[in-house]
Amino acid sequence: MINTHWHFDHTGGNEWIHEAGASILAQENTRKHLSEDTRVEGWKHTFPAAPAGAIPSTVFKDDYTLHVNGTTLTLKHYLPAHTDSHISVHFTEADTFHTGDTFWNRDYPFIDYSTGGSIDGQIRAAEANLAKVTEKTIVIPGHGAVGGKADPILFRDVLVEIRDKVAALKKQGKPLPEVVAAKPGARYDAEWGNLFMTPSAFIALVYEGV
Amino acid sequence: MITTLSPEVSRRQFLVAGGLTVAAACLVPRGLFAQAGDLVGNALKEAATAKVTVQTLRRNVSVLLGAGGNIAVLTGPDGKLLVDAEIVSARPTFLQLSRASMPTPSSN
Repeated sequence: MINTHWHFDHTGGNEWIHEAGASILAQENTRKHLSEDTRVEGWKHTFPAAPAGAIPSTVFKDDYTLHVNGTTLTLKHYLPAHTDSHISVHFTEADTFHTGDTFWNRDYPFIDYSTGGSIDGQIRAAEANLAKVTEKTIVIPGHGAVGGKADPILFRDVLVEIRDKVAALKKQGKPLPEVVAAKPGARYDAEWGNLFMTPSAFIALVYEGV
Repeated sequence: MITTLSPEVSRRQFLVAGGLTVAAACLVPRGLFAQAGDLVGNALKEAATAKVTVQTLRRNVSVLLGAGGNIAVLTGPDGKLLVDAEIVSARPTFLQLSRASMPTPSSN
């Protein structure tokens, strides 16, 4: 089993999947964050160190390749984006690309500043994804429906548009409540602000990083 | 372009491929983190009863959608390989769905 990053909504099953016989592979920062108490300010929550069985037994730093079931899997670490532990997983023969939480399909992303995430890092990872996918690639987001190349392009465009608007308002000296009230994501809020992040919560995360 | 890719949701196909017992298409739960307060607690609570959708993609790759992050599943003679592991409280739903997604000592 492979973890794309350390967050609880992607690693919550580690312990019992390990008990069922699976070994766990992840980037080294995933093991680090699971191995110790880790505070996520954005969720106002401190996650205790995970039990031994939930800790990845194999970790890598930058890249990792494995061959399973006649398939080549290439794993690649992103520069800090949503967290500092994020990897993509490419099923080469099936040309299917799992982005983890560097791509959310039509939902505003959570960004974990406490473990290395930032809006600019999230945008940088979105750009990295676009360099990896072609018109034929099936793209699995961390959250939301499976899509094709047009979907991570839209995600990148929405992040850049909102980031630039929030940055301009912040530069004018506007405090967060005024920036939220200006609704920088008005065109997208109805569709993108429903699942994990309200529009105002997402704007606060962007504001923090610009 | 999405139409041409069209990763189809196919209960019958996945039953044949993996012997799953449940694969009905359901809505993704809304508002996991929408409320103020204990965001993580709410997510855990909602995941416990969240419906999970199985979608076949291409070749031997499928995806489980619904409770927490999306899980990719690679099947074959070496056993099952998962990418990501759901929210811990989604275990009952996950186990019901993914008997075919767990490593099986008898295979290989």
